[in-house]
Amino acid sequence: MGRGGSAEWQRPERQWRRTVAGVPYLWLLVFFLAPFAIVLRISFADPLIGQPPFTPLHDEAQGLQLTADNYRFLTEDDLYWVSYLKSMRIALVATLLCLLIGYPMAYGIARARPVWRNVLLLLVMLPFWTSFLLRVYAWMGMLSGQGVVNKALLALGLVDQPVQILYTDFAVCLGIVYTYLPFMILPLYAVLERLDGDLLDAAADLGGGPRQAFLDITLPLSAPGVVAGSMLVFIPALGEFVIPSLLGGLDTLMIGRTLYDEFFINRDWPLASAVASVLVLILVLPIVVFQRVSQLGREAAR
Amino acid sequence: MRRDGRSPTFLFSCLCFGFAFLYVPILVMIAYSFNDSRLMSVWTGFSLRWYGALWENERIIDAALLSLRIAFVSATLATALGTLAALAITRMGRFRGRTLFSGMLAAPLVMPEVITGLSLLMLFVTLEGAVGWPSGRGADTITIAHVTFSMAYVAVVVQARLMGLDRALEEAAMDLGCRPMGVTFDIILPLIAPAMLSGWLLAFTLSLDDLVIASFVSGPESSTLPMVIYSKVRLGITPDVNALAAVIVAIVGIGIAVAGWLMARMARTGSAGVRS
Amino acid sequence: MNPWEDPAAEPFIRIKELRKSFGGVAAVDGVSLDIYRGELFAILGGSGCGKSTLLRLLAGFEAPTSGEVRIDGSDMAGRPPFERPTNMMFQSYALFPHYTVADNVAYGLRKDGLGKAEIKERVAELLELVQLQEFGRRKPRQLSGGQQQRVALARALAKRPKVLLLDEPLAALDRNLRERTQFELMGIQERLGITFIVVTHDQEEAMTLATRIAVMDAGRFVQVGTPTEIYEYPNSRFVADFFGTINLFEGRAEASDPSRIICAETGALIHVEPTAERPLPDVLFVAVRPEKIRIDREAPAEQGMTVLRGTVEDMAYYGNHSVYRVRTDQGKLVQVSSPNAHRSAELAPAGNEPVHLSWPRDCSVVLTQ
Repeated sequence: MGRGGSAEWQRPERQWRRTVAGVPYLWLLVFFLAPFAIVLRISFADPLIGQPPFTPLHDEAQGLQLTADNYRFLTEDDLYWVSYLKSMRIALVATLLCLLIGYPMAYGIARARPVWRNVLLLLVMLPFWTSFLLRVYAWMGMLSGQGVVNKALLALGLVDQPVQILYTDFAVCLGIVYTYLPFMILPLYAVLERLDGDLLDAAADLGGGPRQAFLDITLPLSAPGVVAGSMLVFIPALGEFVIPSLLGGLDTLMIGRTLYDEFFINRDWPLASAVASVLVLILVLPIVVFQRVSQLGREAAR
Repeated sequence: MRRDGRSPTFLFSCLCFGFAFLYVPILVMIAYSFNDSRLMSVWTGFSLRWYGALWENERIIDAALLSLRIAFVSATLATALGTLAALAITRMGRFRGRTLFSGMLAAPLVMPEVITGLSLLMLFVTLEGAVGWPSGRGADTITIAHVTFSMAYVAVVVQARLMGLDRALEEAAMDLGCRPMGVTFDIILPLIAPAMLSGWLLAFTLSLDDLVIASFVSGPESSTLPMVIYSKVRLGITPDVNALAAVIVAIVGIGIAVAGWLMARMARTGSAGVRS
Repeated sequence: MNPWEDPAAEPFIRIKELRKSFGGVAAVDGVSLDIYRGELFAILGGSGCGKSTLLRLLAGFEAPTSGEVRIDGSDMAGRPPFERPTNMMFQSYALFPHYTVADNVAYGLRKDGLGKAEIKERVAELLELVQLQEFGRRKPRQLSGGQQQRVALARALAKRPKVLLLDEPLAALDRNLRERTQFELMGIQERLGITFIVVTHDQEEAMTLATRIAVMDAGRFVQVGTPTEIYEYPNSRFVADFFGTINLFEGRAEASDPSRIICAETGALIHVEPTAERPLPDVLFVAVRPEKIRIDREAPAEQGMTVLRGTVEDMAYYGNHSVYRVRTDQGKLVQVSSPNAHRSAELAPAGNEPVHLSWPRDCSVVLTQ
């Protein structure tokens, strides 16, 4: 069916269309795209003590001033490389853990009686609506030396003395799993809920055991949910700042935190800008391209 | 029930474990807000003293009010802009720069907050140097920043609803003599109102929750609630934050109940236009 | 005399060389058609044949790639849907879910800027027309499918359009309701005298409803005519096949007597009406409707009949008629539909019984394409 978008009669409505598309377009140009252009320009400046803390890019006397020093520094100092790899690793482990906990939960909800489903879903969503920061904070209390977790471990006789959990990579992983679990469950649920019970019956009828039916039918058909959920966890986890800074140790260098410190503690704006520019290039661009490609794939498949 | 490899008992225990995982930390946090001791290690008796301390802490109260104000304004603006953006993407056909537009609209969803915050700060500093606006940073710059990243979320929610809307409804309105602009107000907006409300609530929550972006673009005079909480908890456990958490959980609980009721009512009147 | 047979009659809707292509693919491929005032015209075709696009071109939702549409003498080019003298009844009904039934019906009148009192009166009139007086304050979702269909009809009629376009108006109704609604629709059309154009994929619906039918395939009209013409005198195998069941025999005419056709596969002789005007191609087809064929145990006495001998392979009893599948001695499977005029089933041939199939020559339709 045609979209009618090319129909001639729409011409008098141009003014209206222009407003609808133009206002948000302009906003995004000014407040989303322009900032990146500026970041890119500042990343080629020298730091300066003053306000703003970088050398002007355009000098009356000398014309355009560009320096690649910041990028050279990035390649020399392995702090950024280490942070990047560590972010990747922690985000990946956390995503897998989310999947491990979230899949059976989503499956359980999808197979629950319809009356219960919405209640359970609401229970999954509820923590999301409370403060993110406070949920991370809750784990500070749980994991501290005198916290509930250590007390439980001691009481069960699993350890003799409190173990250091807070301020470790493990705590960061746990924090990420905890805060992003709903994002894993919801898309998985959406896929599993739509799964046709008849398909499973058919599989069972054709002689596959229940385990076989799960492996042959349920798992492959829920793949889109697994991908969507994993993306929803992995992407924000990668750039996470709050969780590593509250639950992580001094050596839990995740890239978001490194960038934050570079900016607020070292106050090196040009270097931070260079880090940001590289991050956009190696972190955001691949994701955008991936989504674009998979979207085109979906459209082609239709 | 026993159609596949996972027995109900297994699924049931998974659900129990999962929900325990989700709720025990919050419940423990709330429980300790009633602890008389400053330390989390010992329970010395029931007390409401931390709620008293919270009530008297003007910094927290002021920050909460500021956060609410910013969240309200930015959610409202983001809903307006996000709805327009969703309309542009789904209903305006092809226009010049559409690819760039949809790219810019989707990018904030995957952009690390640290980068969004940093780049917006650079923009504000540069703008101030160039045109004198915004003079200094504060509630206004935080609001703008929040609108920018939360309108993307609103657009996603509204777009989903728009795509499910039967196009024949709009054609029917036009067929009966309504001009395209009128169709938007007569037909589209009433039918996507529930999605707009969801989007508004989402934007409101995102704004209330945001620490990183606000830290970049706020001025010395304007600390939002997450910024104040962060500066307190970075140094360790403080029981008045527990009390604050308990208050927030209570408010959210009530809010969800009311919103759920409202949405159920709106869904009853408006969902017939959605093709399944 | 019917207007389409009257050379002096002025067409009400004139479609000339209309074409619409999407990305180089023609959905409507050069269609011309005259429709007269007060007609109930059906456009019939399978899915993807271009019939819906044609309707959308008439309504103004699509702009034609080329060609012309005139309604009541005025050119529709560049006229948006909200300025056309047409109204449409949508397949999904497209009732506004957030309006009451009365508000739905009143919508077009409000857009015309009519006064409150007048709108109220007209809405009451329309709801009475579709027998929904009691339902004005309900929301569409509180109505049954059949009631929703009637609201959609009332809403489309509210502005007294010159032409009412109906997109599969009965497709969403169940079988019983569909038949009743068909007659209601015809009654309303006759009473109001509005020209109806109905798009449908259902040949039965088209035949019972329409004054004339255009059969559409791959963006073109294959045949335009009255239901009888199209059923009895299909002009191609496509049309013959589209309307109900038909038996097709491939063959060639005898050079000496073109009214005798020899079947290519079986060698059987089929008698047809002599066609004088045109030379017949080498390969042609004879089409015979199942109900035109007589099935008997004995050979018929009449002369000039086509007679085929065969054996009943199976038989299906439908109450008012029975359908036989007969394998002729030459090996061709022929379907025969025979009225059950007698009560006793013993009179009818049964399975594996040898029978004679026969039909008069004027029931043979010669198709050259």
